[in-house]
Amino acid sequence: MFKRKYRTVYSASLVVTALTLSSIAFAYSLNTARWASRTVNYYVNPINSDVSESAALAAVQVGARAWSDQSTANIELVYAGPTTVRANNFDNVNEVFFSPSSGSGGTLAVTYSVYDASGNLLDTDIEFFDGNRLFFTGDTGCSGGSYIEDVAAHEFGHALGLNHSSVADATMAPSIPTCLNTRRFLDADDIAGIQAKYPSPCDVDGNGVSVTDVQRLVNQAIGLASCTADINGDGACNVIDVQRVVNAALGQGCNTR
Amino acid sequence: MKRNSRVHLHLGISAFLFSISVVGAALADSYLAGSTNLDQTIQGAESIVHGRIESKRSEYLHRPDGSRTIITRYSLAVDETLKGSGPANHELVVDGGTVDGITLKVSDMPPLDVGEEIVVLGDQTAEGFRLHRRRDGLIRLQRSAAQNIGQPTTLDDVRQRIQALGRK
Repeated sequence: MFKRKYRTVYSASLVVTALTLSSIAFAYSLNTARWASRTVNYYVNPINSDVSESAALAAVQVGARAWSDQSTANIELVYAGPTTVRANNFDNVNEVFFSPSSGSGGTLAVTYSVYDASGNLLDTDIEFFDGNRLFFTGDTGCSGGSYIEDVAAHEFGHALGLNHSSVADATMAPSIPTCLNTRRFLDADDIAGIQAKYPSPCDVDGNGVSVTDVQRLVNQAIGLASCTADINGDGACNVIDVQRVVNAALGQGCNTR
Repeated sequence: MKRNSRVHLHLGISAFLFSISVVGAALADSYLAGSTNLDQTIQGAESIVHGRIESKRSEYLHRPDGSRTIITRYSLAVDETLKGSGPANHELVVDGGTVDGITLKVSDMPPLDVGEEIVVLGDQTAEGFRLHRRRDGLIRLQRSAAQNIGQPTTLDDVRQRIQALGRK
């Protein structure tokens, strides 16, 4: 048993740490726009001046998949095919392209997001400034440039409705050091942001899918708590819903059927 | 027991110091904005003007290739032309804006506010007077140094850079 003064010191440190961690968790920034559907198709024009088209296409896809593969968010970016566009266009088609423009001094790429008065995203285009930038793919060999995977992950974050984060190592940090190859891996802040933006039906407590959601759903299934998480929509919280949340907690996605 | 007490005290103090260090790290604004080169932007821009945004009007821009986008035309009350002849019609054209409830948000270009004091480094294009090198061509004078990373925050700073480049 701790004496009172030690307990006080422990308590103070725990409170300060908890407050700090909570502020870190909310460093992400969401804009008002979001996709109404779970699946968002995008098209890619991989023609660029630095790497092969196949390499560029694969790298863009790595950046897109980061958001669904590394979080339990209820959103998925799906590559739908090639496009020939090389300029942003409000045509209700989401397009990624490399433009001959040099952009500004520090800008590698930019995302154009169109949304309606209700905040429903209608069209997002991502432009890589290929004019005076060096792009690489993979995770080795970069010199004086940037990996497409990492830039794409950042821009797709914008396309999903995330603003810049003040967490220095986050994918959504406003800048990336030359040749850094870790922004394709979401930071805890990015994960919290995307999961807040698109909460999974299996995220019963709103803190990401974990064992606590399983416990909550078990309580609902056995009648210890009221049913709020009818994952498969069959009108009841039961063992099927518990199984869905278990699968989601194991990283197998949240099957709502 | 005494030894245990000391251990607990040390653990407690360590935990407290750790928590304080975490707070410090969380509050430190250590990330960097994209590098801008003001001298290059000054030299490359056709015109540089200092003024204030009087009004703004967004509209669809239909391009010859059939594509379309939303732009905003900012009407400028120009106080001073620092280089070149300034924008025709005292109007700055920027991507983004809202038309009939449809909004285009561009990730590197936050909307400007009516009444905001700015320095524009721009070029005359077929679409109107646009920022030179996108965001690099815009200096928002009422922003804090942290918001204006890599760019000057006062008009005097801009004037001095232009004068220094003129002497080279």
